[in-house]
Amino acid sequence: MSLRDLMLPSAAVVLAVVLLRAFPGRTEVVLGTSLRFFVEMLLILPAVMVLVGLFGGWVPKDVVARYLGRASGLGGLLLSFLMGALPTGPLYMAFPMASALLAKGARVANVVAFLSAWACIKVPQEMVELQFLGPKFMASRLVLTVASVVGMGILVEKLLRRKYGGVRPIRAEG
Amino acid sequence: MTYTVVVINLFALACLLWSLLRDPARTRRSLAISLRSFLRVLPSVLAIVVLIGLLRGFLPPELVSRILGERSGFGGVMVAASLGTVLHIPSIISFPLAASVLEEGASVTAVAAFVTTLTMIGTVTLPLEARELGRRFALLRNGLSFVLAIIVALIMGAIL
Repeated sequence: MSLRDLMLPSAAVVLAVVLLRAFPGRTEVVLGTSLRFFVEMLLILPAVMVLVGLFGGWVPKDVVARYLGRASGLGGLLLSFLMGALPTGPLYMAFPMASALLAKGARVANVVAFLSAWACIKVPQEMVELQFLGPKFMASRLVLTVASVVGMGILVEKLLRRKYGGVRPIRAEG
Repeated sequence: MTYTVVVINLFALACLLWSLLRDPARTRRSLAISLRSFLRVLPSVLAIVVLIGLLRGFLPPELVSRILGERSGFGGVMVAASLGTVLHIPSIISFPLAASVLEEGASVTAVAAFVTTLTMIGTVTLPLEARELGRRFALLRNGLSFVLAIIVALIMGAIL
């Protein structure tokens, strides 16, 4: 943890102290709510992080790219999706991979599905959503996002093709 | 709620045991990654937990429900979707925040719109996405994501 990481929680604590000094009547509600959410978070976060770590330890980094390179058809679309959903780090890590995939001739629809899945349906993220917003909310949002992202992939592909007759990434690699 | 906790913890424990039996050294390396990831999110978790407490204590529920509740209509959904687009909050801590706003009277539609734009759209990463994949690609993906997030949210509001 660097000093910068501690700035946000410290600022929040200072704000809380100042506000609660001024309005002591609210202390019970504020602390009670904070504690309840903190406990809920602690009940689930270590398990989620263990899974993230095990994934990182067991699955080599290049495996995702290797599988996506030969993905095609509807199966390819689904595979791109699953690959994106694996617990593999922040979105900015996915852009160079997506760019390399386009350069290698992967379908635009697959790359969009891969990127969007990476952004919004990560496995650890879904677990926390399940914990806080419940199975109905999590499951219906998951199904709807999967459907939208697949549709969006195909749409983006059509729109880009109409304009340029193809897609050429700006910085092609490989 | 507790059911979820039990299932996820048992699952993680099972995976951990499997890993330990297969390869203790690799398991140790994996747990080092786990610890690093945990320490990385911990400061944001602390900050959001304090913030949620403050919101509960100082933000009147009537205000939340007026801006983001059922009566706020499509305007409320747009406010939530725009907040999700502009804010840059790690998604893992956005769910407790969303749950707390839901408890305070925001509608399912607004919360779904917020969570979906927050995760799908990256305004901070947009320049990077444009550089790697082209401006048209990045703008199309993020723009369409906004529209889709609102559609997803409206359907969720209707079925939940």
